[in-house]
Amino acid sequence: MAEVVQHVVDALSLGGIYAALTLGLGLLFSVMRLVNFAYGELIMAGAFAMYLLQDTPLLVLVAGTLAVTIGVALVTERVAFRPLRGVDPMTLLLASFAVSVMLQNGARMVFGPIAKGVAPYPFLEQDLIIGSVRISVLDLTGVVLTAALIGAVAVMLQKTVLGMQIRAAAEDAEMADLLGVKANRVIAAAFAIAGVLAAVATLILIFQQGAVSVTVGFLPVLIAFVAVVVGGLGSLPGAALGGLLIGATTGLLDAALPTDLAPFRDAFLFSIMMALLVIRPQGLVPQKEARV
Amino acid sequence: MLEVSDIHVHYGSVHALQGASVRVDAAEIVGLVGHNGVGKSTVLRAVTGLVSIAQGEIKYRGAGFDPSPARAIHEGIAYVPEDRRIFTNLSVAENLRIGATTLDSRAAARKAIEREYDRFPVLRDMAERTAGDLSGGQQQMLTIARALVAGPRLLLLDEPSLGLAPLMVAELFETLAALRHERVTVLLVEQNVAKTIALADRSYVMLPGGRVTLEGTRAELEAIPDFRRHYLQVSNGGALADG
Repeated sequence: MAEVVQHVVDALSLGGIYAALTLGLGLLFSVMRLVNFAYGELIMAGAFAMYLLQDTPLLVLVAGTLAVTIGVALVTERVAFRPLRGVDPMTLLLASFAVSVMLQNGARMVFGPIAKGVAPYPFLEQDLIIGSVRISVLDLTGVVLTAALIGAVAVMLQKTVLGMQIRAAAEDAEMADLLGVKANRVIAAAFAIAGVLAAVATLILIFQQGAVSVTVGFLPVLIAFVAVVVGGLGSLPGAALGGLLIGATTGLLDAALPTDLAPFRDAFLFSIMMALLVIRPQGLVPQKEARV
Repeated sequence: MLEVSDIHVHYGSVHALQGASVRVDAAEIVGLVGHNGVGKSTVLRAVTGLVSIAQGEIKYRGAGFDPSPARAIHEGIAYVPEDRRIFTNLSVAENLRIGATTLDSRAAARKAIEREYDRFPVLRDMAERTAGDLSGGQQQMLTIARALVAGPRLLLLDEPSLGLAPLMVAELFETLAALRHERVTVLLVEQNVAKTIALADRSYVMLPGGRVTLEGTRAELEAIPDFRRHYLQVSNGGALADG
């Protein structure tokens, strides 16, 4: 029983990280049809901020990581994506590749190609013992933090005027524009929120891995893209759900697969996701269509 | 109020509008009728800046107007698109609040939304429902209410009766007729010719390429045999079809 609870916490921790990432990616896709491959470089930028700030108090490290990630998100929006608004999604996709390559190589020039260590704060490595269950403070923090953040973003999207405008622009940016919603403000806000989500995912992920490199964001973002599609392209609740599902499934496969099958975990994971898409090609939470 | 002079619009290699001209005076309801695909909707899209004009001029309130979606709404031009484009994931009330974005204060927005609920009581009953759950007719009401909530000077309506049951169409035209009392200027693009010319002060008849060949009041247009034959499905002076 204790082992099951531990696996569930592990799975939720990974699920939380992916849910945060997919929500960020889904937000950008919804608001401007941007499939943002440079999202991985937000993680990379945050990760290097953590590397540079690892000897400072935790609060400084968290604030610095948030500032760098949000800053990079806003700069890429202003410099690369705003001038391209309204162009074909394929052009945006290619532009995001270009931004990704530039940022990654810029980091490689500054920090070099070799991975650097980031030691977690000692208290994060401690275990909490509840009854017979042993849970690491970091995993528990991850679950609580990502859940709280996704909850806060959900409340912001549902209850505030800005959130309502983001949801409207996500569904039909041109119509929102025609009704006087300021597209620049809404899209910049979406990038800032995506930056916050990436920052929190980065903090948990890098403390878990203990190392940063220029390619640190590639794999998580690739998996997050699959999660966005599984959740239902263009649907924000779908994105969060897809992320949670793919992260939790990864965690559970880690626990359940016998040792000789463990190297094929991702093959199992993506087979499950493909099966889901065959059953529900529109994703788990598809957008509603206008009626005629 | 609005003067569209000899505008040309291209969609890629297609020369969709080849010199369209339309004039709408203040507080007037003007119809723009014609067969499918002649470019009626493109005129509205040009005025809102959704398509750019290659040639010609648009004047609004006596001055040259360089259209863009943001400029249009801030100048008091509201647009009801053909495919409605309500925000299906937002509630009815939220759709109306988005429509009220350009109003100065929350109090003004609340008052304007109340006014639209009075106009379309069914929307008040469904205020908290997700707009995607509404029927086609209710969605059409919501689109019009969302446009009117900003208190526009000029309302551009693109085929509002499309896909609606006859009873809903009658209700829709009654609503539009009532706008006359609020002195809202209306440019109405429609395929329901009979109802449109009956409602409008004047109507334009558009041919392929967007050239306007006829213009007149209902009586003037109905007096033209070719018009009656082509647009009202009438032969030998029989009863007018309802479109």
